[in-house]
Amino acid sequence: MQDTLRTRMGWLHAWIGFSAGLLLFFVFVTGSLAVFDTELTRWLQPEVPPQAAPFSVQALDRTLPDVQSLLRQGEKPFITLPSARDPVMRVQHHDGYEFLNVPFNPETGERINARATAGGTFFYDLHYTMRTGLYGETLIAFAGLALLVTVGSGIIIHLKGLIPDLLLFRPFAARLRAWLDVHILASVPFLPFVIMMAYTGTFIRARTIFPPVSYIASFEALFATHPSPDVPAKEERLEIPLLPSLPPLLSQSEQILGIGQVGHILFLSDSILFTRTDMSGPLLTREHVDFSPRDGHFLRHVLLPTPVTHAQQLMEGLHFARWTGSGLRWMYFLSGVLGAVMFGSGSVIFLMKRRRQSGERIMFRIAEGLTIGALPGFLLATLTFFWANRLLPVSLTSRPLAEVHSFFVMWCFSALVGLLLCLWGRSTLGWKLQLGLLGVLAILLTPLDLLTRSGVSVFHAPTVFATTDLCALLLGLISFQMVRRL
Amino acid sequence: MIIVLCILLCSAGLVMQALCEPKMLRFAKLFQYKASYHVRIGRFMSLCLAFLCSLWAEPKTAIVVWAGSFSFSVIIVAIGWAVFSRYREAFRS
Repeated sequence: MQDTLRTRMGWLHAWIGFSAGLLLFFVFVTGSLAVFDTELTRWLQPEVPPQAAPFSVQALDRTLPDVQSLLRQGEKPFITLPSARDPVMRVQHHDGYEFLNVPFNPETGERINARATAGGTFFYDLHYTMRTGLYGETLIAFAGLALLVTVGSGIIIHLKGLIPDLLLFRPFAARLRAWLDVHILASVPFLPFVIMMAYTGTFIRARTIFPPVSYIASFEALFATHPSPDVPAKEERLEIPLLPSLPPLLSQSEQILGIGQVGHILFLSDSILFTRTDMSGPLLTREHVDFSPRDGHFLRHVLLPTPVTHAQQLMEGLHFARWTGSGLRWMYFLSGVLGAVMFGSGSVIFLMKRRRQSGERIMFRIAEGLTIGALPGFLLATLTFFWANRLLPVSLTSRPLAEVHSFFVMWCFSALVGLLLCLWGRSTLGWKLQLGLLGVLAILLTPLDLLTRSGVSVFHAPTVFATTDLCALLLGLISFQMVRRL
Repeated sequence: MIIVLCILLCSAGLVMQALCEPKMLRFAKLFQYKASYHVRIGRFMSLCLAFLCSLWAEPKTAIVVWAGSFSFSVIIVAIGWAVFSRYREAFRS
């Protein structure tokens, strides 16, 4: 009976794991990068100095012309105040995908001339929408469910060896044995993390699985032809009042929320929201104090204290990890990376086990081609994004979009090359080619950083720049080692 | 800092766990070794101590810190044990 259950679970684990795994590898990698989205934005804007002078509240008012300009364009701008993660003040707005930002000196309020970039929030958006809005969100939410199924079936398969094999890692054993050990080692110890992230992630996006309107209505709305609304240009219909001075409002907000507890200031057409910082604790309350944008008088203090909202806030706090210090943030990052290793190694094992029997079949070759595109291909595209950020001209119009296009062009190209080589029966060449190129791009990221960042020395301080470069270097070395072992 | 301490304590506990596990002993070619009573108790005590330390440092984040430290300790000890086994294999031959 138990053997039958194990066999059945093995089938479920393999097929659900492989089909959702390629997508979940992408989700884990982008999620890990999104943990450091602010730090990555700093790497992607090398003109912004790593250290800045202390924050002066008077500097806030100097950002108001930029805020008003964005309001006139119909955006919802917000100012993020300096924090331990980011020493500068930024005026940001959401362009539908990423949060685009303009940095300001936190002491003087002067605008810092930095390149426009999609920034680290590019990975944040990719992580949960795949840049396709609600449809991507729904797909990712179902992938989260598939993750829970895969993990559950995996536990049943491996139940007997869960404790005895916990520390067993044999990298010098036969190839399949070694890959299995990598898979188990990247999975079992991180089960609490993976289950927590899958559960909280699916919970946060439960609206997409259980939508308030039926799926049929959503599809009908998608294909229905909408008459073009006859609305005037945004500039014509928006009359933006002269915004009030912000320092007194900040002081008033801090009396309610606490000193240093305001994280950002959001500007809407009918109110200015001084919102509690996400770093204040595991509950992502987004408690805010509102003022009138016309004369700055106090409007309301909003905090949702019910048990249901507390549950929601806790789930979001645990998943987004914005309250954590650097130690715990690194733990989230590395756990996410090992989650990606779990799915990467699982996909490789799936192919290895079936190569002898089905290696000549067209479906197997397509599956392997897709795996090459999804694993090394995606990492290659990620590094291309970093390279494009440094190599594209700073004066380029729609620069953030050009960075994003570079990412997708490289991903499509690598997926296509991988697929063609697999169909041609040269899968090993496909793996080697992509892993080799990945290694080259990753190792050369440090020289690129040193050459394209002003005021840099080889012995630069351990900042976000050095850490990002070192992570890329490590990725490059691992890629070359994999090429060597193939 | 507390994370480092937790990782150290968990790693110590997991090394003791490996010393109590026949499969791990066979892998490292430690055929004659027999774990003492202190080692058998110590593997649980280290993990409990790590949890108490994380609880003492910050109760709100205790579970997350302890679980994360345990996971990383598993990786560290597993890689360390693999290197140790390889070394013993080379030494014996």
